[in-house]
Amino acid sequence: MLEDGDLSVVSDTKTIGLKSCEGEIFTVSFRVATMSNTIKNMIEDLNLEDGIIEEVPLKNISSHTLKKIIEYCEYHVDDDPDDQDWEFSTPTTVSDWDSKLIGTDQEEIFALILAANFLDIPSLLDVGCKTVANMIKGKEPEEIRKIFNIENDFTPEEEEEMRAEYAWLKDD
Amino acid sequence: MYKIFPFVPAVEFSLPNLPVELWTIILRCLDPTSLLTAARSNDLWKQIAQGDPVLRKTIKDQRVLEKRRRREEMLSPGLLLSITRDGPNATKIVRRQVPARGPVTTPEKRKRRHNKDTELLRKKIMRSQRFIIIISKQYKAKYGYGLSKWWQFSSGMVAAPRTQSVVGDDGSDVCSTGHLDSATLEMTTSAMRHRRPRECDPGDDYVGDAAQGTWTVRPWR
Repeated sequence: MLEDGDLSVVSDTKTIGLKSCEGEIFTVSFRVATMSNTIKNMIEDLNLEDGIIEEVPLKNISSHTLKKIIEYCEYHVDDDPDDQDWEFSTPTTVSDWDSKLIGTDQEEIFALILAANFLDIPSLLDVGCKTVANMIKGKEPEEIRKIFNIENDFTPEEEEEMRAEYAWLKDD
Repeated sequence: MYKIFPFVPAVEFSLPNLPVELWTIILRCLDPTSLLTAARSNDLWKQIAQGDPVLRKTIKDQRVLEKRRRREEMLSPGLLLSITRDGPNATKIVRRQVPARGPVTTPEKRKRRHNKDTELLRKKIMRSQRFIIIISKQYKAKYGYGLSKWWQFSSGMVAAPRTQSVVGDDGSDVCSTGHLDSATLEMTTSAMRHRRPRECDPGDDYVGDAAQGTWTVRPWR
């Protein structure tokens, strides 16, 4: 089994291939790949410094999403994880670089969130969730339904009840 | 023979396929007001907001805060004013304050709170020359009754027992209908000192008539 110190030595020199669902292989350094806790655990558990497995199949992540994830990890690889708060705090601030990377296409954002959740990259998951939260923030229920293309599944009675219950929302 | 009608697949009217735990994280990023709006937009988010302990607490706290703010607004309107002072060097903004006390839980606590509130209110009224409102219908709804004894205020106003609202010395009548100017009110208060209304019915307003020196009962609207 690899120790933490051993992994840091290995991660600077060795690379690993990440295989998307389309079969495309992206070669990244161990250091970038181990930003994902899932891959990090896999490397540690399978003792990959011997080069037994050269590529990790990621069958539920598309090439496009994987490319974005790698770009994100390469950009943030030197960030100090202790400096950041992964507690999903209320302020939904996302840096310009991150928001540019994530983009505005909902399908891509949700694919990115799912992939970040699968790969266990808390910082990316946080950025994705905050982006979606920003889409919801300050909108009326009808606007939210329009943005996410969802049907109003409340009965008129339920709607009326909720309107009465949350009438004070309109006061501010 | 057959005509194919254009149709929209049902899948297009559904939320993106994220697990509940991810929706929970997303909803936890929202401020209370946005969270409540989101919960009103579809049933899944409503169920998540009600099911997750953190989100449920956020909503509950927000509603308690709002209730408290409204009560404070009723009891001491001055606290809720936003005052902006623009000067050559600085701008000072005094924002509204929300009382830090917790919610009332038991009847004993409620009674104690009521007594405390009433005393606090009385002190505030005694200090203020521009006090407008004393007891409102909401206050009665909350505590079940109004004032229990006669009060005379620094402005010269007198409040009858079980009075639900009192007209202010600046002439504004907040709780009920009608309008009195300050001259009328002066006459009213002086008349009131000597002549109490014969009937004190909770839920009605008692307004003095300056010319007649009598009281008129104004029912709640």
